[in-house]
Amino acid sequence: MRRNLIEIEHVTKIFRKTDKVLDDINLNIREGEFITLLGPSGCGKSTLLRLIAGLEELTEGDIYIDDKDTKKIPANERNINMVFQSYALFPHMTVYDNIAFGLQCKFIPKHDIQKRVEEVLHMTHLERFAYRKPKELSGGQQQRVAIARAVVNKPLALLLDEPLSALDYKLRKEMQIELKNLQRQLGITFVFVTHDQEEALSMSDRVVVMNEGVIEQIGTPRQVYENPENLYVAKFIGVANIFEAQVIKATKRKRQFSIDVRIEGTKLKLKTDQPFEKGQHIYIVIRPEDLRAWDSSEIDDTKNMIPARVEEVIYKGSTVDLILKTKEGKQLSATEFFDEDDENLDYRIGEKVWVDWLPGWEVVLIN
Amino acid sequence: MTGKMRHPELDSGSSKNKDLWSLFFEKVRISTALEKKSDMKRLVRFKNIFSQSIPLVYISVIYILLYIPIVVFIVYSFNNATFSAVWHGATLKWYQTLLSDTPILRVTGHSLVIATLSSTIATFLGALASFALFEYRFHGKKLIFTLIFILIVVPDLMFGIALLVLYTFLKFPLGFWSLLLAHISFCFPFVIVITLSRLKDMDKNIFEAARDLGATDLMIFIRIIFPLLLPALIAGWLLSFTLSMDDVIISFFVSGPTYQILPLYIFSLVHVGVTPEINALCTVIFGLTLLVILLGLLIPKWFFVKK
Repeated sequence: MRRNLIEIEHVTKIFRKTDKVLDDINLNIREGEFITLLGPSGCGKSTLLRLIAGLEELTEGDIYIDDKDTKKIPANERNINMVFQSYALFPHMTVYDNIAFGLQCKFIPKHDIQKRVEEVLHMTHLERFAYRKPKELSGGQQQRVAIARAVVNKPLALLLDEPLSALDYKLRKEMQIELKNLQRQLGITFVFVTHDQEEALSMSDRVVVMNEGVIEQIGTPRQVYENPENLYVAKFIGVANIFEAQVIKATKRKRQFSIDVRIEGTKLKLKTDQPFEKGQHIYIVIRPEDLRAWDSSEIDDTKNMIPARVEEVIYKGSTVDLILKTKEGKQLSATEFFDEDDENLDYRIGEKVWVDWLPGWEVVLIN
Repeated sequence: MTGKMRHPELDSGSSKNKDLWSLFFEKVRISTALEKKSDMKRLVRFKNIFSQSIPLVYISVIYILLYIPIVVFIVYSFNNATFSAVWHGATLKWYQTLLSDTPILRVTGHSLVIATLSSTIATFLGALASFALFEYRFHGKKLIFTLIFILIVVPDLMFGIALLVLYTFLKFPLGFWSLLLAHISFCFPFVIVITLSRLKDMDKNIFEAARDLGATDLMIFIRIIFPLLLPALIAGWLLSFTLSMDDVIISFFVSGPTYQILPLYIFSLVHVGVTPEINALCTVIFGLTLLVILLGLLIPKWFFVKK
């Protein structure tokens, strides 16, 4: 386990005396990791980033950077740099001067500044644009300047506040890969803020899911997608089919717990790794790609399956997305892959299908 | 925007307009249909020439009307007559008289000193004030902002009388200092408005970015705010300078016999008759103004564009 670079302890931020934006946040950011703060707009993720940068003052709690209490360290003395959503490039300076600014502020000898700026210009493929003004560059190039301007200072951590949101889809994908490469190359800790869950999953070592000023879950992309800790995370990340149910019977055999539930009229036995009580209200989450839809000719035993009707068939090349409706009117989405087991995914609208999933692929949640 | 939200009267107004427009287009359609029968090409060409020349004529008329008085004024500075509006042949004697007229040169000097000092001080104070209004949150900010706007719209006459009353109340002697203070105070709000609008166009994040990159407040001011604000400061200074140079009304109330300035001096000459010497003086000032404007246009190009 790598050591913690930034330790956030019981951080609360209140704006204008009443507006609680962050509520008792605890988070350790490890050295060299790519961590993403993910949440809808207004969840406090940008505020947390600005607190780390020193651009906002803490209401309560502590932030330690490199084991030093940051209360007495102003933003310009923290060895941490930020990439702003609007890029915030200095419009009256050339690309070169923009990048050199941070080094000039630290009174580094001119010769060294030149060397380091050129190095970073090369790394970000900006050599050709060194003497242009920011407004003479495209959005993607401006983005690169903003990143170059920050990394040239060799910060302990780089804070990125929705840096890709202003770019078009294709460019965003390219910059995602480039950013990830840059992070690997530099070995700097990246704290990335985004509301785009796909971006968060594809880039991060760890994802912090935030909602209304609190952290809902911290984990690897795989953990937050496959094992969401609560309903909010399950709904926010990816598409989820959620069944509400009541525990009919709870049993315990050695260390294995299992429960009987009725979902959409079908009685199912589920294994869980935590105990439940009889009568308890639970949610069962199952991802569309884990849901299998069979037509009646493909199967014999429909005992543990949920009957449904095909509402919509969306062909996506490598997959087919189905919108299904159960007898009780609940809409489900299922993604079927073309593979050896099921070569022709031939679904007709209105067709009756049987739905099930491999036991254990569901997630059982209580809230 | 939703249709429901609109005011019914406004709505009916716009539909009336629409009716008028559709009527207009209907007429145009009919007339174009008729034109098809006649020689279309010639008509179109005629229409093009006509529609292109209208703006040109219009603009020319406006500019001629604006500049004719100035041209006439300049021409008469070379007129070889004392009071006549009739052309008596060209001469440079009024320029010679001007050069040897010490009182007029002295008051011109006074005006230049007052204008330079007041615009410089007003620009400095205005820049500070606008930065405070832009950057900080404090009680009464809106009130202060409104008061500044009121200063701009208040009639000069009132401004002048008010200052005179104040000076008399404080037993402040009328002269150089009373004039300077008055000029600073009426230039100040204009500078604020200009610099504030420039500041508002800036991305506030760039100051934070500078701080984040390790800049102290002083460095942020010197390297970011000042260079970005410079065009607005120059514009504010020039506007203040011209306001101060040609102010008559306020200066009339707050100046004393010890310190005369040019606009008031010319104004007082009206009683005894304006000689072409004044024309000559104003021609010189006009020439200098042109020079300043030209420099104002060229200097930024020399300084800021390097390729």
